[in-house]
Amino acid sequence: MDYCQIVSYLETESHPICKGFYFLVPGTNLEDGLRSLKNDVGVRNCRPYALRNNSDIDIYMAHSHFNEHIRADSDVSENEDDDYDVYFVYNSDNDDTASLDQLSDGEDEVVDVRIETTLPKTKKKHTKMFDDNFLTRLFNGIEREKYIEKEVKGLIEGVEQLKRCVTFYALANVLKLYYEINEGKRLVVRCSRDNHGKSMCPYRLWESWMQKERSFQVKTLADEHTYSRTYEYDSLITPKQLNVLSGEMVSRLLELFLSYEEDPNVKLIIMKGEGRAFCAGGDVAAVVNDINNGNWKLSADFSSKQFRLNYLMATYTKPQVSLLRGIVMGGGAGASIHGRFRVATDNSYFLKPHSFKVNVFGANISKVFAMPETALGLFPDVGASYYLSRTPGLFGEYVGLTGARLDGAEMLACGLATHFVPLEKLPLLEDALCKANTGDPNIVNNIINEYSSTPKLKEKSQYFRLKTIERCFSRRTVEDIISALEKEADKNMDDWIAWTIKSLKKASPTSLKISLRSIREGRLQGVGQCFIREYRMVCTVFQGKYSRDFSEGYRALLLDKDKNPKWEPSKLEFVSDSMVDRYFAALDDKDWEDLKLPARSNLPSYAISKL
Amino acid sequence: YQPPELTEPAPYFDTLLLRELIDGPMFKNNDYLFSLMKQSTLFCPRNRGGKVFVGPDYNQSMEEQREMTMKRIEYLRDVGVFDGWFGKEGFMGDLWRFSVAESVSVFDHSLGIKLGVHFFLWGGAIRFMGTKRHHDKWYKPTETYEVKGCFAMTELGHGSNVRGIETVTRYDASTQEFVILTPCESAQKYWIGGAANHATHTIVFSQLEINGVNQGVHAFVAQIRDENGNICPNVRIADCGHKIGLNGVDNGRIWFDNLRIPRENLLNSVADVSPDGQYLTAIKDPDQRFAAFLAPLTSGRVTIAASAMNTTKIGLATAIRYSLSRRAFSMVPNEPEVLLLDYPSHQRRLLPLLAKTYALSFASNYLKMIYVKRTPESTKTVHVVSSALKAVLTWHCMRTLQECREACGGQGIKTENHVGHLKSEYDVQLTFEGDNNVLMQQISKALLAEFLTAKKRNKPIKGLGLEHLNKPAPVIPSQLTSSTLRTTQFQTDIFCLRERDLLHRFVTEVSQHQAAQGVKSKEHIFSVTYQIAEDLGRAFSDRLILQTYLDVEATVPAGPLKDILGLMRAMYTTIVMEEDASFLRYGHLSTDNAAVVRKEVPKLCSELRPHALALVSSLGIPDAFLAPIAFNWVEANATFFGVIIWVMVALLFYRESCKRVGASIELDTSSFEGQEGPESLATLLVTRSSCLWLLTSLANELELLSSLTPARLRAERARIACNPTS
Repeated sequence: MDYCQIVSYLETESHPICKGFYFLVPGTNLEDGLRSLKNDVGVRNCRPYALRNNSDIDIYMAHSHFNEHIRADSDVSENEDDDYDVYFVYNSDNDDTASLDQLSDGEDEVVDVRIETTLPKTKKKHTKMFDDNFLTRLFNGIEREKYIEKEVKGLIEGVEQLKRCVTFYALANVLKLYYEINEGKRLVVRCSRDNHGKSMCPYRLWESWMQKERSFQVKTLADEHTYSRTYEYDSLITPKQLNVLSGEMVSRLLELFLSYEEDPNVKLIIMKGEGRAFCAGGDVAAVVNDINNGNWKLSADFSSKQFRLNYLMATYTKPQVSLLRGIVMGGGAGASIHGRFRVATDNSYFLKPHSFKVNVFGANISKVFAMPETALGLFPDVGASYYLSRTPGLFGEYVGLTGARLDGAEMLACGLATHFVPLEKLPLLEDALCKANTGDPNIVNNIINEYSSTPKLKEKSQYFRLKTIERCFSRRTVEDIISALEKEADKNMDDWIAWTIKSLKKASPTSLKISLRSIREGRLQGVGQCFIREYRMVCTVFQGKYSRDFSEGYRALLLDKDKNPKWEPSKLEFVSDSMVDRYFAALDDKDWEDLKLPARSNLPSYAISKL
Repeated sequence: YQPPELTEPAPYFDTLLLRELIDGPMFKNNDYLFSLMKQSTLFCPRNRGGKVFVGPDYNQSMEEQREMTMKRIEYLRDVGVFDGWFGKEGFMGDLWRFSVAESVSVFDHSLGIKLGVHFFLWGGAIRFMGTKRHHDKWYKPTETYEVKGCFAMTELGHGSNVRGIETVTRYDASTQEFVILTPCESAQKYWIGGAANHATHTIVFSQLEINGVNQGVHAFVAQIRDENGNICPNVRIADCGHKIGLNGVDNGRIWFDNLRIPRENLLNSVADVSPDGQYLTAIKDPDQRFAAFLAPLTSGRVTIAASAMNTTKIGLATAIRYSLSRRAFSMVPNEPEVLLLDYPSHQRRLLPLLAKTYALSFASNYLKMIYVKRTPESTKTVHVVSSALKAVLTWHCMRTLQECREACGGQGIKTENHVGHLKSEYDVQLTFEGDNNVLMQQISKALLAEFLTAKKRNKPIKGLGLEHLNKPAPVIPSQLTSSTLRTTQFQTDIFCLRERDLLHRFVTEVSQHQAAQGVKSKEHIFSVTYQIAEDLGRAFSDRLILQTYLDVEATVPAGPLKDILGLMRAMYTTIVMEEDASFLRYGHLSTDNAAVVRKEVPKLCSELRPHALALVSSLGIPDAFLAPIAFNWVEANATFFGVIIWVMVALLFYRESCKRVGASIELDTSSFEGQEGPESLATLLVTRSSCLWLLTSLANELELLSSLTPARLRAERARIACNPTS
């Protein structure tokens, strides 16, 4: 039996795999006896142990969220107590050694596989259904048609098929289903259990075994979901890359948002990220890869989808609550700021100094929000020219040009976040929102308020520099801004000014110029026009006809990490107005066309601008 | 409320292209300034119905408004808007200067005028009437506002007739000084913008008397305040007081009691006085000298014309957007009410004005271009065209504002909706830089002179677009049809015919009067032929505007935009024919044809109706500079209670945070506006506590704060006091 067989066995037969597997050396305890079972090597390693131990070996699965482990037993009756909780979770922990803390508490159970026998039947309890491979297949659309069921219906041949049906139904509709009764011949499925084990949703499906037809059939069905569904962002993301927005993910979100808008059962959308980041932005590697391979149109396509998604969020009829835990960068900002509610939090829990490094900056992350595009040869997109330009004073120019990082308190102060909820209250808030089951923005607002607090800006917060920022970043050109900053520095030099000047000097000159103009134009435009303009810009950047700064920035900051990009043009004065103009014009390419925004039934007045 | 963006069809043409066309080459610079003003708290941003609007607080007292205007100027100076004001050369420099002045006027006329007086009148006088020694001395401090300039030309007794002013300046060779004197009360300088509070220096227009000989009007630089703002000896200054509009400008009156200034302070571009008191000039004819002297100051009219158009755009964009979301009366019982702009009568009120505004904006751009590309030969053209357009455009502005005010109904009355208030702010433009009626008569005089000169020399007439007079008179079809009315040929023909005919009539009438009255002066004859002179002035302007319109249209490639421009041109010409009685009066249109014209108007209106939204969008006034009724006026009016509360709470927070960081407590409410944090907190407080208790305590807090805050918060408090149970 090789690794793949084990995985597929667990996936199809009993337990979808969340993260790594581990086997326990017989005769040892959890503290020191776990060995990694990651690949065939691991399987080979475990074989001798198993053979020495009556062909039995305990396999452990790592789950971060519920901390439970699964025991597969060889003799399992048909009447086991099944209990599914379809809940997408990723473990952010990629360590080779399983966290012992996780393993030692919770509902630990052991998967017990008899290796050389035929596949044993399993007993399972409180498990998770899907692994990342499955999701990838799903979102790539390869097996989508096959799996996604809109409803559970018809004759179902056996108990496994039934479970599968229910599971895919749950997955397709993002429901938290569980089995209220699971008796082998009788199955009652309910939705959204609260802490006391009671359902919070009228949905109820009763399937019974029909001896005559040899199949399961629906006995009763209350097909109504009132419980607010939450679509958890991170379920689509690989935490290793700090929740990077991939093309598939954007497509999926776009579809979900569209279908949720129609669905009267969806009242509220909660966006959140698991792990260290809410979302660290678009998948730069993939984009640059496409560009370098001459496929800039694929990248353009990605941006087009992303912008349409953002536009959808900006004009959404239902409230979207984004819980901004961890890093919010670039595309992640786009996926949250356009929503109605943005809840910032203190992220110290996640971002202990020195605990890890984020490559984008090559520095410790101490702030949660940033638009670092200029350092990367790009410009703040995803509607940044809309929302940054609407922050107080000239703060937007400052953040957009320097890529300054903001913490939760600063985000609240400048209006990028609407609320601030302390980290420990975030789960409570989430529960409360789910329970409230409402789409009324006022009620949602009140709920969030209950958990909100007013954070204190740090003493050295850049937000207190608004006056200086206003004096300097109000200048007509980037050159003027820098010289104004240098004048300030002559008068009163400090770390902040030095950093600001340095980051401007390090950034791509072209990026700085187009970013400044973009933010300024965005200030007078509606959100739709902002996306259309940014789409032109981003396509021009991707096309790389006038400057290849983006590929270069990626190389220098993310790939080679020499942090020494060779910008071209290399100096601000070499970037003429007419060069900047080209980024704002329609592309000279016959297959290219302007971004087509979906027609919307909801146009909040702040989203309208005449030009 | 439904935003018109949702209910109206998508634009048929590219609104951005049309905006570039109507705004000219500097529209990016305009946007930069709009963006700056929108972001600074000095420009009173306020949140109404989910959008931020800027605009001066007219609830402030006159003195407060004046101080705010000055602060805004200082802000713009601090962020470097005026850097290189005098350094920018060439016509792009001129266009840039115009762009700055126009953009700030979109925010507030006072701001535009205050800035215009300093840079265009004071700065322009130094630049054009002065020579190098003046440039070296004054450019730099003017740019940085170390010197705040004003421009003392008008007197109590003399306005348009500058050459009649009574202030007199004599030269004292012993000290090499000029001595300026206000000899009588009617010679007091009047309406001098900036003089009442801020100006430190002024240009003084005065008769120059050398050795007892009056050499005509000359301009001098005089200091009227010291660096601490104290009025200089031998100068008296008084305030002009509260006005119907423009209260942000400190207009003052100045008397000179033998004020002595150095000889170098004579602005000597055309004439100078030597140290020993000799009058030196290259231009002997005093008329010509005076004309050459004043010619560059035409820039004032150019900016007035342009600002008038921007103001018109604000009014129209507001009124039309409102009429695309406001409904009144159902046609059939139980049916939804009808959108205002779906009433043909409402279309008739607004859409022709919209088409006209486009036509006049193109004309204003044309004026700007001939001004910035002026040559000594084109001086006369610039003078005539600027006179004509200044008059026509400002009249159009006032008329449009009035119509828009009425079209907005009661909402037009509210100051925050701008439309009504702009009328009083801009009324003065009909008068300053040349009274409109006087200007119109001057055009006819100029046309007459051109005509007679050409005739005398027996040469074809040239310039001012009058070449069509050399050709045979165009023939107008006896039976007009709808399609004829829309042809360029017909439109040009009838406008030319009218101008030509009126000019001939004017010539005849003047010569008849001359023959009959013989000895009486020319001026007298002009004063009795004013009726036809005014008609001719109109005819000239209308033909000129049509001509510039056609020129712009010719630059646009065939396509949707060109179609729209053609439609608007038809609207413009048709409405001129319908409204101006002179077509009928002088028989250019038969009564039958006049009926055809009249019938065409509603037709054109209904054709323009689907484009109304796109056309006002292309006007290019940013949302923040329009009014709440242009957007979600329901929401804008619904949040009254919430707004007060959260403004107050925001203030409290602000004060608390100021205390915490030890910063001084400055009024900065606006930085909290538009954000949901304080607002939602306020809502929370309200729902959780007894409203009355909250109101009382907050009102008390507000009382404390009101000493720090201007009238706006006082007014809010007054409203709470009036209505404690709300």
